[in-house]
Formats: sequence, structure tokens, C-alpha cells
Amino acid sequence: MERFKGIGVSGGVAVGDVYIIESERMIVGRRTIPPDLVEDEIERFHDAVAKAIEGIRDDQTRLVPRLGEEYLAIFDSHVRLLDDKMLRQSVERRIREEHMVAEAAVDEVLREHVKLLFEDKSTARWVSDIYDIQSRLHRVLMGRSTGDLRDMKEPAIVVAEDLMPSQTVSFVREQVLGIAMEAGGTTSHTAIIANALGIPAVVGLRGLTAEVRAGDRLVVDGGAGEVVVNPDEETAARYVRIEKDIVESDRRLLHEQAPLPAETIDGWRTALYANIEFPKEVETALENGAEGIGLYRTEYLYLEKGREPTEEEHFDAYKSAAEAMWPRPVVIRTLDLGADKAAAGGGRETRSEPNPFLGCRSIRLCFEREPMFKTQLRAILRASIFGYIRILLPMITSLAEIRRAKAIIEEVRDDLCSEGIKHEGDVEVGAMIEVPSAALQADTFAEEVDFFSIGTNDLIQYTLAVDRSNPVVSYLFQPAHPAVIKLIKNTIDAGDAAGIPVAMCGQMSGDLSFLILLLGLGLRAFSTSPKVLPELKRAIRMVSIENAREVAAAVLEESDAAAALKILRAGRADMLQGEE
Amino acid sequence: MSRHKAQIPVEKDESLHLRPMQVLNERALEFKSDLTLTRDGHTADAKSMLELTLLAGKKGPLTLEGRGPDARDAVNTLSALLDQQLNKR
Repeated sequence: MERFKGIGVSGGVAVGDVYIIESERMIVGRRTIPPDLVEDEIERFHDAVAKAIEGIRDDQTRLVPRLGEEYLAIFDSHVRLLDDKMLRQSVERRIREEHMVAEAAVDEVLREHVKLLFEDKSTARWVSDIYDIQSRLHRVLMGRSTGDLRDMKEPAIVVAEDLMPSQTVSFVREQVLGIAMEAGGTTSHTAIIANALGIPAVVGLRGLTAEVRAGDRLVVDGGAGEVVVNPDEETAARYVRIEKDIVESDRRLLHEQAPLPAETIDGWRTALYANIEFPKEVETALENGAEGIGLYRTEYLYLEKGREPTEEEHFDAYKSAAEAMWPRPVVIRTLDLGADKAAAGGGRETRSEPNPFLGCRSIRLCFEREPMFKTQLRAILRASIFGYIRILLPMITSLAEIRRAKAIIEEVRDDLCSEGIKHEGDVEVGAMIEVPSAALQADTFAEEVDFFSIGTNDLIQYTLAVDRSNPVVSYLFQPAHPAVIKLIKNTIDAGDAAGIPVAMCGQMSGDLSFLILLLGLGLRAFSTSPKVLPELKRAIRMVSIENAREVAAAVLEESDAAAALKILRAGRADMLQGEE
Repeated sequence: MSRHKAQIPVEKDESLHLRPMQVLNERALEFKSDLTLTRDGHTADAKSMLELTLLAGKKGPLTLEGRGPDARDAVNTLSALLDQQLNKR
């Protein structure tokens, strides 16, 4: 029995056998074949192409019910790329004339093509598509597992060094009991997908893959951020019990909280919104009592395809979310790619940046690639007539950025008008408050926007200059740090003074330890992952604002995070006691 | 054996996505004639999706050329299709 400590990114407990996904590092040596085997080798190549295409079709059929048609057009393109005349001729020639083994021939032909694609900005975005078909062909030729979960016969816990977006999107809740991964942080695509699907997950588990082999059993405790390899019977039984309890209490909670308002003891109403990734998640959001979508992250539209989505793809996704939620609001955050998520989505500008978190990400990337930004905005404005959509601009650091973004929105609106395309004329625009400069200037920003949304993950990271996924310094990531709390307070106060709503959509808003503080500071709108909502509502219904204000005042007096946390823990204990 | 040619404007360079090329590629495979697409001096075989991807990096209008028994039909059909895909007409 061995324990590993990582970062819990998706709650819940899972116990099961491991399923190891090997990293994609296949090196093809340039081997040759005897001349009399040339025709056999060519046939082997043709078979591989057919099998790879079959694999794509299978994936497509499997994923349609989960993700919807709009996500899967990319597979059609991949079939065309595989079933290709040039690829066939070039590979055949290398096998026939140079007696190359099929793997090496495929590798050489596609590598040359990638080189050509890299020559221009507008074609470089397809490199990941070529890599995708290349690895499919290789896997078939080398008789390797498909790298996704098609070979998984029984439900199991997925263990990997790292996972590609195309692998994580193929996860199925029933099949993947839990995820334990070496790489990654709280904002990695694996974390986000795991959360969306409700799969317990722990990432940042250094050295795990070296210790785990096929046939091992694993416990993944997503809440505690812990993994136990080969637990003894007693330990395993305990975790199985915890898992059962969690499932049962969740169901009970959902049932009893659903009809109740999110109101404090002394009658203050709060608004509970859900954070989502895919339009399909609105169902889970509604089931869990969400009064709207407080944060629709649109990055996955880009990541899943490994290319820029078309206006229609954007439009279909936004329209379906807006319609399903109507008359409740849907806050769509414009592209927030960059830093760790950028590579797969085609943000190659950011990939080579020495300091990506301070580089061309989010709104900066949108300004840098204005046609792409406009495509998304057009789709948003068009979809707005089908529901109540609001636009949220990420990573705003200055007033000039707000004005520039609004001017672009204005231009897009004018374009739509002159083209005679139906759209909503007046869409509310809000700013994410997630860097210190924005929080400090919130009073000025409040004059320019219709609402604020506080993104705590980035706000903490930028205020305390710490990367939470770096285990050496992650202890410095303190939501209760006085500087962070002051910035949050400043933002809420500025919003109140200007009369615009302030919501919080970061992880802190779903963390019950901070609920009393946030209510005391005046926060009245929370946006969290849908599953957290019933629990959050129950807690809100136990708080009195009067008491919360006292707790907040006491916390504001403190000069360090540890002391602040102590007050918050005491406050929470009082609250729970009041209930019994 | 006949030869036919047509020019297709590209109003927005960013419209050259995988999707329109895939549609073109699929339809091109239905014809017997050799079909090439040329842009800015660079020629791609319309029956190869891989070659078509490289055209997005070039500038200017596309020239579709067909040689073979059904060249006229192919060029007419495909140029209309491409124009509709790229310029949303």
C-alpha cells in the first residue's frame, strides 16, 4: 500500500482496477524490408488505413450521443485525410522503391507534410490533425492499443502521465471510475472534463506511473487529492463506504434542496449559477437547481476540434444552451485560451512564449486574432435572440481593453445589421475580475460594463505570484490571504456602488469554507460546478447575513491567511451548530 | 478528352477551413477526370485532402482545372460548390 498526494481537481471517491494509458512516444526507426515482401507491406499499409478509418467511425458513433453532432465534424475531415490519394501514392512509392517499412514510410510522408503546413500561419493550425491521423495509423500498424478507452473491457481507473484532449473527450462516466495523472493542474483540460463528467480525479501525481502496473488496484480520492496504490482490504472498504455515502447524501441533498430558495436565515436572496463547458451540461445545471449559467467556458469548442470553430459551430452551441436555459441567463465567456490550454487549440503564438501566463492569452489573444474573435462574437449576438445571453470578457487589465472589446462588439453588430442577419441589438457585457489591476480599478470599470464576475483562481495566482500546479510553491496559493480578500472586497464594493451585479465564478465560490466570508463581504451571486450547487444552497440557508458581516469584519482585521482561516473555521462550526 | 477551367474568388482567407475542403474533396472523388486546384502558383490535386490543406497558406482566388471525360461537368459542379462553401452564397 502506497499513498500519493496530488491536486484533487474533481471530487468524489473511486476504487477500482487500473487502466494505464501509455504516453504517445513512438519512435519509428527507418527499417527496410526484403524486396520480395514489398507487396505484403503495401497491403499491410492499406489494411491499416482501413482500420484507422474504422476506428474514427467508431469513435464518432460512440461520441455523438454524448457531445452532439456539432463536436464531431472533425472526424469526417480526419477520414478524408487518411483516405488520401497523395498519402497512398507517396507511401506506396517509398515501400516499393526504397523498401521502407510502412510505419517509416507513413512517418516520412506526414512529417514532410507537417513541415509544409508549418510554413504558414493559416495552415499550421492543422498540424495537430495530421499528428492525430499519424498516431492512429501508427497504433494500428504497430498493433498497439488505441490509446483511448476502446480496449477497456471493465470499468477502471485511468492512470496516465498526461492525456491529450482527444483522449479526455472520449471518456465515458460509466467506464472511467476515476483519473490519476502525473501532469496537469487545476485548470488542465483533464481537470475540466473530469469535473464536467463528475469523475473523481487527482492530477499532479509525480512518480505515479513508475509505481503502478496493470493489475494493481487504486483508490482515487478527488476531494482529498489523494491516491492509494494497492490499498489493504480495510482501507479499500473504508473508501468504498465513503463513496457510497457521497452518492447517497448527494441524492438526498438534491431532492430536499431543489424546491427551496437560496435564501439566508434573515431573508437575503442569493443567486446560484452553474459553470459549464458543453451545451449538454445545462441539463445537469437545471437538475441541480441552477438559476442560470454564470460561466460558459467556450474553450472546448476550440480544443475539441483542434482548430478554430466555424461561426455556425459557435452559434449552434450557444443557441442550444440559451434555449434550454431560457428565461434564465447564460453568461458566455469569450475565448480564454492561452497558457496551458493553448497548444492543442491552435494558439501556437502562446506555445513558444517564455512566460505564457503573462503572455498573449485570453482577451489579448482575441485582439491579436481579431477575425477569430469576431467570428465568436457574431455567433453570440446571433444566438442571443434565442435566450438571455450575456458576454463576459476574460482577463481584463485596463479600461482601454474594455473599450476596445466593446468597440469590436459594436463593429460586429454593425456588420450583422448591414448584412441583414438577425441578432440581438443590446447584449450585456461584463468583465472578469481576475487580475489585481482590475480589482483595484473596479470602480472605474464599473462605469463601462454591465456586470462583474470574479475569477478567483487567476486572481489568487496573479496576486500572490504563484503557480498552484507547481508542487514546490503551491503552499503559497492561499485564497484567505488578506491581499486577495481585500481585492475581492474592493470589487464587490465597487459593483454595489455602481449598482451592477457582482458574481464569483472561481473555485472559491463553491468552497464552503469561504461562504460566510463572501456573504459577509456582500457577494450575492455564486457560480460553481453544477454538482456543488445543492450543498452550497443548503449552507446558504444556514447563514445569517448579520453574522456573516461580523465574521467578514473580523477576517478583514487579520494580517495573515492562517489567522483568517481560523476565524472562518470557527464561523463555519457555529453555523453548523446553529442548524442542530 | 476535354479541358475545363474556372476561377473561384475567396472573399475571406479565413474561410478556407478543413470543412469546405473536405466537401470539395469528397465530391471530386466522384469524377473520373483529373482535377487540380491552383492558388498563387501552387497546385494541389483536388482528390487529395492533404494537398488541399496547403492552399490555405496561399493568397488570392482559386483556379479549378479539370482534364478528362467529365471535365466540364466536374468543373461546373465543383466550382459552384466551392464558391458556396467559401463565400456562403
